Amino acid sequence: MRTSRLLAPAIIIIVLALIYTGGASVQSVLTLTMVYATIGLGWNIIGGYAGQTSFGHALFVGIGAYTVVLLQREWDVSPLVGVWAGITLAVLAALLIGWPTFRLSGVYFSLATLAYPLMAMPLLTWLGLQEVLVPYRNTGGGFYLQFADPRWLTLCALALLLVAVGISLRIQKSDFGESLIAIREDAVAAAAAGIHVQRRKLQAYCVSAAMTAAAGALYASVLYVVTPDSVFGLLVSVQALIIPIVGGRGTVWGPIIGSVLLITLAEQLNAELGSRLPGINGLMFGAALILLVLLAREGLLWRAIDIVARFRRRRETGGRPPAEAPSHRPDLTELAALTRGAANAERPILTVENLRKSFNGVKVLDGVDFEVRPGEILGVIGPNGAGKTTLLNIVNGFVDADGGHIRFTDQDVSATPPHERANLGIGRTFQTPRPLPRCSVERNVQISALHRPERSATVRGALRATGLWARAGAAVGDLDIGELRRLELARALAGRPAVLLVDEILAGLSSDQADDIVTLLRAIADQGVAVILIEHTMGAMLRLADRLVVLEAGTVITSGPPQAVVADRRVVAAYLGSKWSSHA
Amino acid sequence: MNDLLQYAISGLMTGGVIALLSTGLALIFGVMGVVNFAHGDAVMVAMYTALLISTGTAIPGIAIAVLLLPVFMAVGWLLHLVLIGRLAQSVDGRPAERDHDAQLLLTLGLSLILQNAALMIFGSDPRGGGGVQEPIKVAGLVLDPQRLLAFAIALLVSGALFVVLNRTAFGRGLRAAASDPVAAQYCGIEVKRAHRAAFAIGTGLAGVGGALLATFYPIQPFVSLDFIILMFAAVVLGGLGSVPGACVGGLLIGLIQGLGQIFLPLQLQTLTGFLVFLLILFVRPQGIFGKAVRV
Repeated sequence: MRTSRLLAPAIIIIVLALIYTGGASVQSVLTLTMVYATIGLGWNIIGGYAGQTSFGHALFVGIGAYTVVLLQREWDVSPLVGVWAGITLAVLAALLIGWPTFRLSGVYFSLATLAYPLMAMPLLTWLGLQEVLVPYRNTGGGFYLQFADPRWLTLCALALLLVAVGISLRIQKSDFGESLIAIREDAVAAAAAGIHVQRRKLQAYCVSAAMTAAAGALYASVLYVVTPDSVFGLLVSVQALIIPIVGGRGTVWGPIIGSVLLITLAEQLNAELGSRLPGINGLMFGAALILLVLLAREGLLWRAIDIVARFRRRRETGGRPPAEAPSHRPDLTELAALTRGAANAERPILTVENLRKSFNGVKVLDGVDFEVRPGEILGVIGPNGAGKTTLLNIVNGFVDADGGHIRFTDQDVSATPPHERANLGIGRTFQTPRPLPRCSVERNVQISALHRPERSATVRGALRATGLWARAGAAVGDLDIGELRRLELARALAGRPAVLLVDEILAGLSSDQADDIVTLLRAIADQGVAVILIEHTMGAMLRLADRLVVLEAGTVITSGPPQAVVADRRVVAAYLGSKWSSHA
Repeated sequence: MNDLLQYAISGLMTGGVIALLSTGLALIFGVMGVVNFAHGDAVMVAMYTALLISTGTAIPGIAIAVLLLPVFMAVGWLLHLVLIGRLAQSVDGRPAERDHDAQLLLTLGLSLILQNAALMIFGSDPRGGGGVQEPIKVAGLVLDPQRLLAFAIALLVSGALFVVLNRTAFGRGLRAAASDPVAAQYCGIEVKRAHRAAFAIGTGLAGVGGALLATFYPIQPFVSLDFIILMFAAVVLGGLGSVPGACVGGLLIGLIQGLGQIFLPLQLQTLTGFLVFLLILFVRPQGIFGKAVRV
């Protein structure tokens, strides 16, 4: 970060010097590079930060370009005004693509993004707009973005690029940007942490479309003649995505580096070979795509960051692995601020009524009822396939029940989406931890507390309570399984839960690792949080649970205090088979 | 009324070839989980190849189609060996979300190379479009013999594929690898080889389809852009990844496009495919047969 603060002004000065001294060909390469860097930055918002690869950003370039040109030709509207119309149309188009496809898997988005610009081409041909000239309107003041001195146009491109960089930096530092990254790294974990995945994707797509359309509007002034192929063409879409990917997606510098490399190369190739070998540019971009995928999937910048980090680590540790992680003592002093203990501990905070669910005709849950009170630890046990994880998924909203109700406080949340349930106070952990792979421990925890005023205190409290405070800056790849499980808890705690769903958190842990978590869960419950625990380890369950619910074949066969339940014959039969129940 | 029937029939004829192409695309998606953006360009290469063969010799169009099937299967097999299969698969045999993108980028790169190489070799002028043959008249309807033949062969090949997929051990292996790669692996099915086979067959079908198209459709380097939307629409209409669905989807798209000729101007005819695509996306993303692929 510090390097970029020094680098940025230096680069701007160099670009300004180039603009001042360069001849016409330098101006044109510079302008194109900056326009495409802006397009790449636009793509980067949805494709880089949010991780949704768009294969058709030419749509927005084309909408921006055609809108300003047609507005100027028909009604003499300045591009400076027309660009806003272009942006508006592009955002509408983004909504039209994003709204239906973001509900579905990524394939539909890929298909739709590729299809839309391809369809714009015959439409424009039919409208008789195969070739639209930018009307000559040199008023002297540059009001129509037409200048006697081409250096002014280059300056305009620089100005637009700087605006795009500014917006990207703002997003990168914002909670909005954090939620996009969480969605990219693990959309399921993001939803469980209370992030509205669909809405965030859609917002990112709209911002992306707007930025790209603005660049497209300027591109029209660079081209003079706008044709369907030059702005809606496949090659434009490819450049929009390959520039940020080559440079490094999800970074501000990536699209700039990619544009400098590729656009300079493309212009050079065009000048040398373009007349003899039409299509040389397309061939080059195709080959670049394939090489990129095979050799440097993450892009040049990420590669460089990795190499630098490795080099630094080697210098600091002399090649030895880093020293043993500092010991982790859970510090529960700030726990009270993290939880939403209910005022009335006697009324159930969560009630499940007659829950039913079948998968392909197989009944997984068949009329399950239970309730849980604030401060209570409810253990759900049952043999494999009894429906425990499905139950948890239904309570947190990942799976829709076929029938029945879930009430949280006085509210029926049966139809509430998972992120809203998380925000209401239903937190959960995953049996297989779902850390965001390329984020630090702290950022992993933070995603549950985005857009909250007391965010940093919450994250600190959650990290302290789970004993991860000393590891806040560590990469999640360096955590052991015990730490990953505590990370799951920390993330759930940062969402300030009133009900906490815990899925087999002790499985596969050593007894020391398990003890830490048992103590922590007890402390969380003592703050008035209702904990619903799924666990195979009977010993831990007997120690922890205030009450047990036994599921078998989708129904509750018994419930009550742990000691009474384990003595129940039906429970022994369910676990060990009826043969053993007579011995119990 | 006769007009309506005429348009419907000529649409259905083209629909047969679209069905064949979409079947290949759906097979690749169904087994590998990858949308092959270069599928249309394999068709383009087959069209040029068929054109070159037919102008030099007296070999009829059907014979070329038969000839191109093994040739393009070999090409597909090789492409998967040296390029597509190079990407690391995750444990379950299916590409992870990030790798999924990588496969799409790879096929997009391939598509660009094929299009622009064709542009360099053959130039941008359209070629071919089929010799003039005496149209057949049946009950007042005019039938183009080349289209009729293409339609028949397309249906025949698609039918053969269903038989292979459903009635042979090899086909069951492919379907197993498609529905649950991990379980298939445990049952002794080599998933990577299944992927390679699916890609080879899919590309082989593109070869046949291209040869058939070349008998009546003009060829230019970017001809795939005319078909790609129609193929997407057919595949989505049939339910993403469903092979029989894609076949029926292709026929329907042909029919709809044929009827669209009645009220749509020439340049807008591909729009009907797009409108169908849009409509499915909004109304019934699971298509006619399949389940929607949800997040």
